[in-house]
Amino acid sequence: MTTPAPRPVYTAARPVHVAPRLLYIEVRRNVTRWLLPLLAVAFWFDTYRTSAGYPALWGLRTQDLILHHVLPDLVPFVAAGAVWTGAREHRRNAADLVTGTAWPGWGRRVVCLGGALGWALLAYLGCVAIVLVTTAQHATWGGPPLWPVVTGAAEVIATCAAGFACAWFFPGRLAAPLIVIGVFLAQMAGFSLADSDSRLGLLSPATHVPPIDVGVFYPYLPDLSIAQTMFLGGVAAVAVGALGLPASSGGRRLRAVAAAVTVAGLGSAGTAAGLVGTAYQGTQGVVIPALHDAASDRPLAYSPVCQRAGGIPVCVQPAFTVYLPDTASALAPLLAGVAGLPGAPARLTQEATSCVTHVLGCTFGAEIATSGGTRALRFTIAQTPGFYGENLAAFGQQTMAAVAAVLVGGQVDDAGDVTADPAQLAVMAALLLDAGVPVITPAQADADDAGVAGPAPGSAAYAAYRRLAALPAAARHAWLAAHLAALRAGHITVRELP
Amino acid sequence: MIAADSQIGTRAPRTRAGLRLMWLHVVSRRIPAAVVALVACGAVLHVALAWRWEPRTGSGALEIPVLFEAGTAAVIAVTSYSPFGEAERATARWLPWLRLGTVVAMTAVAIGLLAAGAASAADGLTGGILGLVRDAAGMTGIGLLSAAVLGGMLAWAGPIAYLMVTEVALLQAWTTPWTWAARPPDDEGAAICAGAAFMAGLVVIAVRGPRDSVNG
Repeated sequence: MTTPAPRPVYTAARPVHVAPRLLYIEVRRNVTRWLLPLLAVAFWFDTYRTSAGYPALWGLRTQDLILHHVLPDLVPFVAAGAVWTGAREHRRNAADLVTGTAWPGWGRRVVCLGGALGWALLAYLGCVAIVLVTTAQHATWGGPPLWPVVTGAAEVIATCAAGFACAWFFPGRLAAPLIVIGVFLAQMAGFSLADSDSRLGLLSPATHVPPIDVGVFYPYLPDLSIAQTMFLGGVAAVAVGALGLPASSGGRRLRAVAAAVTVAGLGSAGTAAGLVGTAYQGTQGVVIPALHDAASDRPLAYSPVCQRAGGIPVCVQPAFTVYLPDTASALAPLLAGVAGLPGAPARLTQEATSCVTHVLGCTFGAEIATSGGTRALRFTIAQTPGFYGENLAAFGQQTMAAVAAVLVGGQVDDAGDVTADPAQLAVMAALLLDAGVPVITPAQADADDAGVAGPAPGSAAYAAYRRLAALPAAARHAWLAAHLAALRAGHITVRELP
Repeated sequence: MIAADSQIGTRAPRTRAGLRLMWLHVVSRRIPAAVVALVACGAVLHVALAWRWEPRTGSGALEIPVLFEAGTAAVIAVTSYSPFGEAERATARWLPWLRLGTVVAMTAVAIGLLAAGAASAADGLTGGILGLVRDAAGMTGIGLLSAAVLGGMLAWAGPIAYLMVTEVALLQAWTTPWTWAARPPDDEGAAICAGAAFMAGLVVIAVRGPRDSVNG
């Protein structure tokens, strides 16, 4: 007589225990992993090679390289991976087969999305890590602002979730190409809106090319990044929630949760859209009053780095230390000609740029001000050698032009345009020519010839400039010593120039 | 007389049968839906150009047209997927001709719709109609080649990957004719490369057809 073997006891695995295993299986089999080599090539060709020309400034590199290079290259492809995953049940004719499984439909879809998202975020964070490590190797001051990284991750998640949901609801063979083209188009529309005055365009991370010294003189303003992350998070929540709304998604309670997630997502996206409607352009970036922290308006403390040029110390923010030798050597010939003159500055100090929207729209500004008993010439660096095609010669010429203009009493606006009377313009041109800067006519300047625009040929100012330039340096210095204050005050006419 | 009657009697059913065969082929490839997608591409191209979603000069001016050329190429490429696989291959004598005719007709329709969408915009197309024909045909060739390698359902990956390469070529001013969509419309080398890609795609898809894979 044998006793019967005890019957095995089967216990239903709790979803919380099954989910990690399902996610592991999904991650191991997801198609997005096959896109990684392609993404690596795109990253190397675009972001990595572009970064070589970027100054090693944390704010600029983090915001511009990640939001304007990494994401446009990465997002369409990882969205394609999510779309392909989302349409899988239909493509393999398995929709009916999996409907009968014990695991709720919503959970199954979210796990599938999680697999695609895992690879997408891995690719994104890998690209971000390379950008940050290469910046850390060359940066001389500060640290990375994290909000652009968070916003970029939100865009990856939102795009993948939206693509997955679209493919699940509309799984035909045309879904994948059309959704991917739609992602490309949305990015281009975002870039287009960046150039327009539409505040809605601020919701796209592709907007708002930062000034070169973003996060250097003032803290990085996170207002816009927060609103964008809210919007993208809302889009992702709507997509994930919508996946749980059909009857095949699970029980009534689960579908109620999905509906709540969808509504929360709509609320988040709508709130973000409302917030950017109140945005305005501050001096250091886009300000959203409801999200703005007044502490962000206080300048950051730093000890300037200085180097003497022509007997006058030239000081820059430590983040620009690598550009100090170029700046000082460019200014030395000019400063040597004016050092010791009454009214000449005792030092040159770098200040924050006031142009905050487009890097290419900013050039060099300068002004002379007395602070703490020291007469200082404050100048900005809005462009560095190698960045956006800028070369060392042009960098030096622009810096010298701005400094020479304010030395003789002229003014330089944010666009780099000089306002000076004819006598001041003639003296400025003579000083620049003596310092080795090519002085060109206004017509040549309009034709984008290299050099700094001087007086128009045939004018009295042009004749005075040529006379002054022909003088020996000692004679010109002596005249400036006697007349610089009057020249700066606008009391010298062209006829009175030697 | 009997012979003549029988000829008349067989030609009409043959024509009807041929038309029915073509229609079944078209429907099995979801070509009516694809034509709707192509119409949508032309319409959105018109909106994008009319609303100036791109700069009017420089490399950026080509990005929107190239995007829609890649989109139409991807749509045409996925219509190569056959739901019947080996059974159809083994029995359909006219299949290569049907594939060839379908692809040529779809490419012509795509070019016509994109040209119409661009022509109705105020500023027209930056690369001109010649550039449009070259780029769309070349990218369609890439789509057909990727259908032969990856399968019909995944054939869109080829034009999309090529689109990405073209975007980089536009930004970095590459001069190789293989990135023909980033070259001026009068570039002969680019036209030859695009034509070669289209012809290669046509031949491969007509003779061999798309790859049958698990994913389609």
